[in-house]
Amino acid sequence: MWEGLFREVILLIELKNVVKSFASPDGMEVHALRGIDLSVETGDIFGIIGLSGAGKSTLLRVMNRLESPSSGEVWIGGRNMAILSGDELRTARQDMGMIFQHFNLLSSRSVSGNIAYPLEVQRLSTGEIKDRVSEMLRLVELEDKADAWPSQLSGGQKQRVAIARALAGRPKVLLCDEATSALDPRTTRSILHLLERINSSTGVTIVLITHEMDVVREICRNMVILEDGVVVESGPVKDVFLNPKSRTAKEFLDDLPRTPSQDEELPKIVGSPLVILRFDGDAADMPIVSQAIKTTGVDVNILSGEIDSLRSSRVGNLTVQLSGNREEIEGAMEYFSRNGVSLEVIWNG
Amino acid sequence: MDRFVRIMELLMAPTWETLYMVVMSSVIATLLGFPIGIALVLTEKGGLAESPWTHRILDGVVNVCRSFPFIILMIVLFPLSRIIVGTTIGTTATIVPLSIGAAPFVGRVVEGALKAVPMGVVEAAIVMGSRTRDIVMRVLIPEALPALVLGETLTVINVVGYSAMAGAIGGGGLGDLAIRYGFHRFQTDVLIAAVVVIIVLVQGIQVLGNGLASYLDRNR
Ligand SMILES: Nc1ncnc2c1ncn2[C@@H]1O[C@H](COP(=O)(O)OP(=O)(O)O)[C@@H](O)[C@H]1O
Ligand SMILES: [Mg+2]
Repeated sequence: MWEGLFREVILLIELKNVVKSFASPDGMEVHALRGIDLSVETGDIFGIIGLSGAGKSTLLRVMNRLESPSSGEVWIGGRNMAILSGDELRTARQDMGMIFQHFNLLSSRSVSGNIAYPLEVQRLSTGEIKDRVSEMLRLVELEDKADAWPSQLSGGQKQRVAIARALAGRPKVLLCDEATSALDPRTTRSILHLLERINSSTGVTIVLITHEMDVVREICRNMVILEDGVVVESGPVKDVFLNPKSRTAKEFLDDLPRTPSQDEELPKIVGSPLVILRFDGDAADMPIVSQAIKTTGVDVNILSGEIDSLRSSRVGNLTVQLSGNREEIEGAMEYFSRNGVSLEVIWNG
Repeated sequence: MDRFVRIMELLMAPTWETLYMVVMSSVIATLLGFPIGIALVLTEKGGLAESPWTHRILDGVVNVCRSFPFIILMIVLFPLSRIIVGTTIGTTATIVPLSIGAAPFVGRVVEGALKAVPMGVVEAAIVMGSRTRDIVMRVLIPEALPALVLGETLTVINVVGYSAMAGAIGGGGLGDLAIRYGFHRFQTDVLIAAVVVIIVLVQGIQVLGNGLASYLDRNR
């Protein structure tokens, strides 16, 4: 019992073996989700990344029952969305907000009118609605656009209105379906930072899907990579960046200008192994290489490398050549391991 | 000059009759057709209140009604007119078949306009926990309003046409005038005058409808 309660408090979202198949017009079945297990902690910013057609949208839409799963359980805040219906489903949905790639604002309503919509649906009084709308306008910094019409706004402003509308009813979760994919890079960053700010000020849990690694890197703490309806990688963003296991993960990381290419012409000197050092967080900020040189007497020849800023920490990798006597080299390797740097020897002749 | 004044006098009463028929029939047709259109959208496959059988039946009824030529419909509905208004001739009696003839048309117009509301907008409303009633009243109808106004304009113009036809079998109004004077008494000038009034009426309705629709569209 306690374990169940505990899970419920910590894990806001828990999907168990979720399967979703669509019947395609030619009678074939499309397996969009093939047994997804996934959990999202309360207060997290959780990224779901994958190529087009991987099943990201379906996964998100299963969470608020825009799609019914073919089988499996979809627990959101202690309710199994998969089996709800009628008023229960409606109320459960009011606990979740959603924003879309193409905003989906009501063209018949002003900015304020759009934000008021979910509150009208929840039958709040006019006074309460008015207060809450101003509060939301302030949150997304659009007070001066209260009476504007969606058609008069830029893409970024429209998405801000959509965010305000999605959060007006104080949901526990905000689901974002490619929310920045229709925006230019600068607007994307400002929307992402707004989401981050809202996450830390209101504690709302954010689940976002994207096909852009940059988005995940910018704000997510945990992530999964979806491929062909299957989770092929999951964990803290940092870990996935540091040790990508799946092919898809590596491809996504390749899109970023960082991973050292192993095919590169690297100088091969007998007795001087080539090593990739992978750092995260603290290690990336410490002068580990120079310390290693000082304490072990090894020579470190840096061949390539990069340090990447993630959400709140930094990860990096360096391809280096270690020279010296065997003792010095082994000492250096041990020093790196001891200080939280993971090591991959790519050539040792 | 005398003749002109005389024609003007002749036109007065039938013009009012036509306006009366058209307005009443359009209002009643809309009251009947609007719910049909909404029901068609809600019950269709993937709709908010999906119900294949209800949809099939409604769809069938609408198609059957629309395939009746209006004159035949009027004759078929004579008994109904007698029950409702106590007679089968005159403007009031004509309102019955006019309304029933135009209602399925309104149904289709409403169906088309509501289906043109982007699916994403409806989904956004669904995920905010809307009742079906809220989606219809606060999303579908307001979003489709300009299209609905244009469709309604088309309906009224159709009703003007039908009402003129109804004149042929004792329906009153401008159609009746045109047939009695122009056809039976060979007074071509009266016929032309009646037609001119109908044209002006149709033009006026169209201009009004277009104006209202673009006013509603001004901020979108
Ligand atoms: N309503 C649907 N009917 C049939 N097939 C669908 C439907 N929605 C999604 N699919 C299919 O499911 C797969 C996953 O789609 P989707 O979840 O939209 O992927 P993503 O968002 O990652 O691009 C695709 O092959 C897509 O064609
Ligand atoms: Mg998608």
